[in-house]
Amino acid sequence: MQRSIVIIGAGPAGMAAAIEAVRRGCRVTVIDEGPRPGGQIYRQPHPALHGEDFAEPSELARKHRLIDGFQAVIDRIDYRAEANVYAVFPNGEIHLAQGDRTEVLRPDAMIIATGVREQAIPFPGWTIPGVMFAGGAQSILKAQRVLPGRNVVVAGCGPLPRVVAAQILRAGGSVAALASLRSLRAMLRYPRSLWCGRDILREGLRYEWTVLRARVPQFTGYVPVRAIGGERLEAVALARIDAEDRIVSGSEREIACDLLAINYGFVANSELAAMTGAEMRRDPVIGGWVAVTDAFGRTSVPGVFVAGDSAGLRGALVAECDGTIVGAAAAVPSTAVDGAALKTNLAATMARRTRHLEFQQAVRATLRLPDGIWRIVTDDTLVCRCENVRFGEIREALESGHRSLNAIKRNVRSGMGWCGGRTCLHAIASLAEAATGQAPAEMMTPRPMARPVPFAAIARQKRAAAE
Amino acid sequence: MPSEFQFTFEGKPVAAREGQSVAAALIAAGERCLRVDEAGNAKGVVCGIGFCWECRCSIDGVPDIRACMTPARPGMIVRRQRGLDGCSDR
Amino acid sequence: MTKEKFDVLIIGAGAYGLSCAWWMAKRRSGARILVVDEGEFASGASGRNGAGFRMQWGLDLNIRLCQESTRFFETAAEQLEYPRGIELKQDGYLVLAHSEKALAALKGSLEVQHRYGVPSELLSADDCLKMVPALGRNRLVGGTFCGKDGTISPFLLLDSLLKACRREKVDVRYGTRVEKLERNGGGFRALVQDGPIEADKILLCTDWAVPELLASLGLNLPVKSLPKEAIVTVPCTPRVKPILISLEHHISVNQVNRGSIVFVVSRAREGKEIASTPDFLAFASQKIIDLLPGVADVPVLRTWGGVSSLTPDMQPILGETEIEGLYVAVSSFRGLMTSPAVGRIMSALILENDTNDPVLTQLTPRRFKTGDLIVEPLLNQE
Repeated sequence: MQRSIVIIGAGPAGMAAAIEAVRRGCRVTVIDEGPRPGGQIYRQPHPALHGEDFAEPSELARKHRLIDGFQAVIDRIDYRAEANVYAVFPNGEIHLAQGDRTEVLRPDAMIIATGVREQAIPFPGWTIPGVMFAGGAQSILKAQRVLPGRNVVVAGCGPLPRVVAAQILRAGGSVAALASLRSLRAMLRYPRSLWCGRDILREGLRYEWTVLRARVPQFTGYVPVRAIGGERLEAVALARIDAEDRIVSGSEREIACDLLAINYGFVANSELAAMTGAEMRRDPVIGGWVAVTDAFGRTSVPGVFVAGDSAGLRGALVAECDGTIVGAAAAVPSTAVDGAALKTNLAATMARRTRHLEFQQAVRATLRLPDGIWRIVTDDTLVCRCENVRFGEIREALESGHRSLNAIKRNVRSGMGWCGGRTCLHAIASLAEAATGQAPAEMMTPRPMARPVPFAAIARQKRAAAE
Repeated sequence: MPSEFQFTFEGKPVAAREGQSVAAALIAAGERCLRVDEAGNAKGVVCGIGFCWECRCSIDGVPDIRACMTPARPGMIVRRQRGLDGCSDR
Repeated sequence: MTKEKFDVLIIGAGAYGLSCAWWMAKRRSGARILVVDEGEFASGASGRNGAGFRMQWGLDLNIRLCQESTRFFETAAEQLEYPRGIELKQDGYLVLAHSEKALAALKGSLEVQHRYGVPSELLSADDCLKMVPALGRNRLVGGTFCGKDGTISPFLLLDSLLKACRREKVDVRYGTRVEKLERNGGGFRALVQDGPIEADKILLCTDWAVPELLASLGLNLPVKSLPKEAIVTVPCTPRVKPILISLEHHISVNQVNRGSIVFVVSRAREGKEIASTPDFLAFASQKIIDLLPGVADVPVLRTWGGVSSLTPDMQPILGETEIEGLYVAVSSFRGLMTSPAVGRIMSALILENDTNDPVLTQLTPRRFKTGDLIVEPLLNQE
């Protein structure tokens, strides 16, 4: 009997897992929201959209090698593009919506490879049109071939804002300022890590060179504290954060711009993993709540695996190795996973994974947020954008003793809107931690729906016969 | 589909290329505000990849369609949503 | 460890527990009252329900409890000194009948309601469709409507009660689970994690979990748990102005101010789990489209689950148990809408031994031994 495996997400981890599981003779279904495989990092533009990627050639080579490998086996995969998984259950059921109908799958194993989303720190005015996530601005540029702004301020921490600034410059945009919470020099404390990631580092230095050559005004230690505008962004105020993580009064600099692209790291798309009942843990640097997994991506729920960034931020190269390892582990009965044969078989991939993961030490050092950064969230800052909940209301709920995300939600509606808390809940957890000294113990109760789906589609449901 | 075409946003013609999202075409056309929420806040494209749902607009009379996830098509009618008004009058 | 001693210990900080505590504190200033709850704020049945209140019942006692409670909700912001208000909305309740039998029960109940001055009226199927165009004609035979029925925000009611209790020096503690109850001379001892709590009197407001605590004192009550699941849509244009309930479909529909439509569906099964069940969404979606074809295109945003209590005659249990000083208040799935009246009646009973309210005779815990079960005509429409 062929083992059936459903892989959720067709980014690096999902694609690699699919290639491996097909190679091992499994019946593989891949479900992805996008119209074409690749996920966010290896996003493919529509074939009719000619133009440049503004990325490094070595990056593009990596991307196409993996996508080509996936395309080579796609005929042997039940590949569902533009499909959403809106619920998974502890019994192994996967509910997906595609077009105007839904379907229930119940495979022998599921691999959740849903990646990460960007993290924001709310600040006054951040809802003004023209304030975007940096990776979102990047996707407009790279996958849509449209310059997301003509005069751009890029801000945040870690490598992504710098890459986005460089790509905007390469595309002919102007970057009015690049504000970094801290210098990337923090990476120098991890020489071994840098050696292991030297290929990526080389690409990073070329992006840095683009920024330097364009003489972009750089503000290190600065963060956006106010966006200015009405129906569109007109300017942003940057302010310096001192060594005690306080906003330095009088350090404000107002800079005119039509786009502010921000990124403060990433949040794991771990809602589906949590919905299976898998044991979760919280680590803000790698994406907040993530499933507890072993070396083979196994969660506490039998048959449920997590691979790639959604198990904790680790980058595309680690995610790809993850995919291969988890794809192999899901392809064999659980008793065989612990056997020596599989480990021997995967030794080379595991070694490569270890090397790539080493580089993440340095990356994570740049993403660690100081507690004080949350002071840029003033009482009248809209934190939950969907439900228009201001920080003052959340602070009052915290002061009344409502400390869990569920209790805060019941009080002020944060996380009840369209995005299901995906944009704000991680920030609220960190705000609660900064305000009370203790982070909420659990994520908001994970339940359907992971994506909105109309009644009519849910009622038109195809249920696979029990296997 | 022609490789270059137009659709309308608030009655004004917007140029788009085959394969572009509604959001990208609107940004290229200099449009930033795609929606005015129930509290009167102007909203635009934020995450660019579909999770934040901020760029919801009315497309061909159907409310709450994400501009960033919807490919532009010739002749489509895109409206700025105001509050719960789905602009279903076409 | 210092022993803590209270006049009254209330277990359960839901609508019943907090309302009883607030009424007691008002009734006797200086009374030492402790409310404990094993969960967190609004995590039980009072925070997981359809948010509705209605005077449309078929039985005197339900009408009276709800009439008094409705008057309280109308003035809750002032009475509880809660300027934010509790999001009171009185757009009415439309009770639908999809069979002649159900319609006959509605007509009979209308007469009882009118005796108490409830402004309810009989509607034809056409009237119902005119009132809610999104409804399906499918088997609909008519309904009754009362414009004074409506909804409140369960969270805001609980928050306003909590703040009012704390203002009156009631001690409210969440995350405090009572493992066991013991008798202690003329009073009681409750064992919690931090040590024993002593109280002269105890009131159990843990709804479906009441039997567990009673068992530690050798008593039992026939209270079952009834799981419900709810579906919340994205905010959409107004489609359902009044609250809808369908006696035969076991479903309630409430479009909240923000535009989301909330559907609460109960299925005939027992369970204490608030988890979402895999087959619920498709089952409920079909049911919802049958009832309200006009919402078929609306996306579902989220779901939640809750558990309410169910007694053999589907009526609340209010009163003193066989053990003197030990009281119970079990809602049988209408805790939120009856909580103000229950708080008043129970506080008078417990603090002043006032047994005058006729409701207490009917809803006594003893009725399951004597066999004096109650019949509510609007709840027997299987």
